[in-house]
Amino acid sequence: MIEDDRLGNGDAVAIAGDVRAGRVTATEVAQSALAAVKSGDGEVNSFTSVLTERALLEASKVDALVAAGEDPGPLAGVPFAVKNLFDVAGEVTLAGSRINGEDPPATADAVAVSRLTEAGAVLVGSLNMDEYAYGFTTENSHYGPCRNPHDRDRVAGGSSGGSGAAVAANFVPLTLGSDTNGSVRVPATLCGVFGLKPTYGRISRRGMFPFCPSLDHVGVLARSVRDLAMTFDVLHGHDPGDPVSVDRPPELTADQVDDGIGDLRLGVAGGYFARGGVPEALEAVATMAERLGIDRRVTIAEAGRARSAAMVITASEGAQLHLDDLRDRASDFDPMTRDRFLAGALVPASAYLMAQRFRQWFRVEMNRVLASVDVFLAPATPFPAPLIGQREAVVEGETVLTQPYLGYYTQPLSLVGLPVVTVPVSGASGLPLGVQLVAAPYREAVLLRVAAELERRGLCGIPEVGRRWT
Amino acid sequence: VQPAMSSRSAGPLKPTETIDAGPLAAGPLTAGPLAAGPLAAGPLAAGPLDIGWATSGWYRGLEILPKPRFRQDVLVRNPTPEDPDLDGYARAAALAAGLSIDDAWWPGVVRHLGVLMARAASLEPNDIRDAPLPADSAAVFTP
Repeated sequence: MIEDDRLGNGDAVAIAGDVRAGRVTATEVAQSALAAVKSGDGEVNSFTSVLTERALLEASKVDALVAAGEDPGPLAGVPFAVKNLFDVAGEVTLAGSRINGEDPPATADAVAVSRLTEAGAVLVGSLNMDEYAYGFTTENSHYGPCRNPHDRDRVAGGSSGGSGAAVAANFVPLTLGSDTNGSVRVPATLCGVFGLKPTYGRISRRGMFPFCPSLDHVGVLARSVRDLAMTFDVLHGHDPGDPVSVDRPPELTADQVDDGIGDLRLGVAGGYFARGGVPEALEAVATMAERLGIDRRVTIAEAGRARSAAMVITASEGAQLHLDDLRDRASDFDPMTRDRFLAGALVPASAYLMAQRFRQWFRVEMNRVLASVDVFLAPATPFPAPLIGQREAVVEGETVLTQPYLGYYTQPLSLVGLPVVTVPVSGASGLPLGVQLVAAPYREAVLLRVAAELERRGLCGIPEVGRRWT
Repeated sequence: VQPAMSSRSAGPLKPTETIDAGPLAAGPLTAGPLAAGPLAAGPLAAGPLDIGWATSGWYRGLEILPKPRFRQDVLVRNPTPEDPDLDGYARAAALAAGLSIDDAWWPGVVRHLGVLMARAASLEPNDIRDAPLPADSAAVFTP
């Protein structure tokens, strides 16, 4: 919706370049984004709050820095929005729930929000999501379903559905989401945008309402690979306020994305990842591998059990987090999440601990696989965006439950915290699909190099809303 | 099933032991807010769980999870709300957790629990791994 030619192709790096060079003001960009949301989000329902006053104030500060000849930051004037589980000072952190709506407003921004604003980005609002991040479709009964900009009868994915839809609709070029089992990668895929789930512990979660603490990640959704890289560079780094934040020196990626892939060993995930999806989801990976000349296939043992372990851990930790509310006011939960949280509260500790033990085994297994390749490709979702309200789908002749099955390919990977980039590709149906690029822990730079190469070769990219790919 | 450690005994409770003192002596079913709840009035009111609660507090309730049978059943078919073992376990666990679950929600909760228990049970077989799972179950994970 940012249609002014001065804003380039609408990606964050282009906007920041224009603002820094004085070709456009941050205020003009913010006004454009706010107008786009106002005119277009009624049909999409990606935003749950729009922060007009704050956005214009922050934009004016960026403009003042530019006018004074000072450095406004690498994301100067870039409008962004965040899943509504991130604290925003003065706003209530809903986390997609009605219950949290009774909380007092946050007194400070989440660390991830602060780091973006310190880099010059301008926050314009908070975004729709599944209640407490427990879902893959953002069919939120409290705030309404978020609709896919490519087909408004379809879901945007979840749980960061608003984050995917807001980028796909070009309301903003950049959003933050969270990913516990695929909640960045699934909406990025179904909405046809780029997504990054960094290594577990890379980006501070302080000020982010948790879902399942031992699996929660902060992630980024954007319109280009260079945007992912620039944003990752700004966001990552040690934070003693997050108990799982990894203490490593910064490893910047933006200056590496054009390095090519000539020295990298690439593979394609076989076995579990070569089945379980509709043909177009599997063919998207096969086509990309063929175009890149990849003939190495990696087999990941026990991926199905890894997904099982992720489910048990998620249900147990999530239920524990909400136990008081489940006891006192269970009827105030979204029915879609309530029954699963209640079930999670009944899982024996022995089951939870078995899942954590399995996770330790799977970590070793994945690191063994990733010693033989630098990056491997895998499908991102088993099918393109389902219809809103669609409860079942048919995959390989079997009927599956649509909602949980969307995490089939993402859950085994986040179980062990691997960094993943999802790139948007076209499906035979004309709806967006995605491919996951997976690397060993802390190798985000390598992932982004491969994604950038795919983007350069035209093997992935943002589809235009309203025009289906063929 | 390993019995829970009691803070008032030197070791694990044995199946025949009862909690005869302290706040659990009468059990939440007879004294707490759930005394008139679904367990007292529902289909299990006259079942084995009710007897367990009435006589020995919450350990007997957990005893109704016969591990071999439960695992075999769960692995070959999805448990249903009618499954007496899963349903009974779930009711005992809900009471132990202090949860009062609306009757209308119960089938959905048990269905989800059945899936989770089946998933958890599936982690134990060792048909690919060449060694037992590591003992480390740290919830704070390092990739």
